[in-house]
Amino acid sequence: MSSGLPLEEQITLIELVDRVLNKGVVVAGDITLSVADVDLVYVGLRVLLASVGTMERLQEQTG
Amino acid sequence: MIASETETAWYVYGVVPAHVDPVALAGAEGVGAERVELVSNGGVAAIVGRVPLDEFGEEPLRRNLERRDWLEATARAHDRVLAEALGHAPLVPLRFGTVYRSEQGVRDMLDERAAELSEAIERLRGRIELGVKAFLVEAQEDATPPPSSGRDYLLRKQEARAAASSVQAEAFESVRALHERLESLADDARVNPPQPPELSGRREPMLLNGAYLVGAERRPAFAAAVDECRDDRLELVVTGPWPPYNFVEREDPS
Repeated sequence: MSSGLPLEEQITLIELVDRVLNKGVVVAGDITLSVADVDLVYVGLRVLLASVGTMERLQEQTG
Repeated sequence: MIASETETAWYVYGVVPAHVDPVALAGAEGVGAERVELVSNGGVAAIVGRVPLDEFGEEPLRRNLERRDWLEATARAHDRVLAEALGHAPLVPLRFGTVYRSEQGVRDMLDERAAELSEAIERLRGRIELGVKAFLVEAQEDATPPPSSGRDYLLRKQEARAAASSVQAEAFESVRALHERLESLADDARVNPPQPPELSGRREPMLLNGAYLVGAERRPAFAAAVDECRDDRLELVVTGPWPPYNFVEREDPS
């Protein structure tokens, strides 16, 4: 597996998102994230990680 | 631009006992680079920050969530404020993105939920959350001579498959034992769904994605237990201490 820093940073971000956005007490604020909002964040992260992974694989192959 | 009341919103990070010294929390920089403050009511206090509504209002917040840099910076700030507060007081973390249009809104929320929040604060007092993930380490393939026949090839394939499944069964057993050991040292535990490889960023399967609520004094014993359970089939990754994000909602009965 690649030890490229960008991917490591992404993983830390997932760990953070798993807790900060996905857990914690839900109270009815005037503005509160919905389950759909959180799902969308995960969709975005999957796309981002997939593209970072591809980039690193390309770099490994060419470098 | 004309400044008005409606441009400020109150972002709520978490809830602490009302007697906490606000000066102790004043050092933390919040999600909008603001100084955090306390809003108290009913024996509890919310850690809040005044943030601009054009960044944290309903529509802008949703748009900003799609910006990776913004998401990372604000999620880190949310965690940083809570982590710093955790050093001074027991606390109940709120989910990211809880925003009120007025200070009174925050007071009303505290009033409505004071009993429940106080109870949670007491349950979490002196405790931290630790995360433990276990990955199955893939066996290195041995350099064997090429198969001498088609039958030889099939036999080897069968053997390899049987060996892989027995390694996996053993690894699952080790993980079960690890979790039971950690659970016995913890006051509470959660097993979250394993992150899929596209989110974990690793090809190795994740066999455990656990969160443990641990008395601060038991942290060395917990770390020692993790170390004792390490073997060459499992890679164990410990994160934290975190504010107790995983231990504030009732466990999903499903």
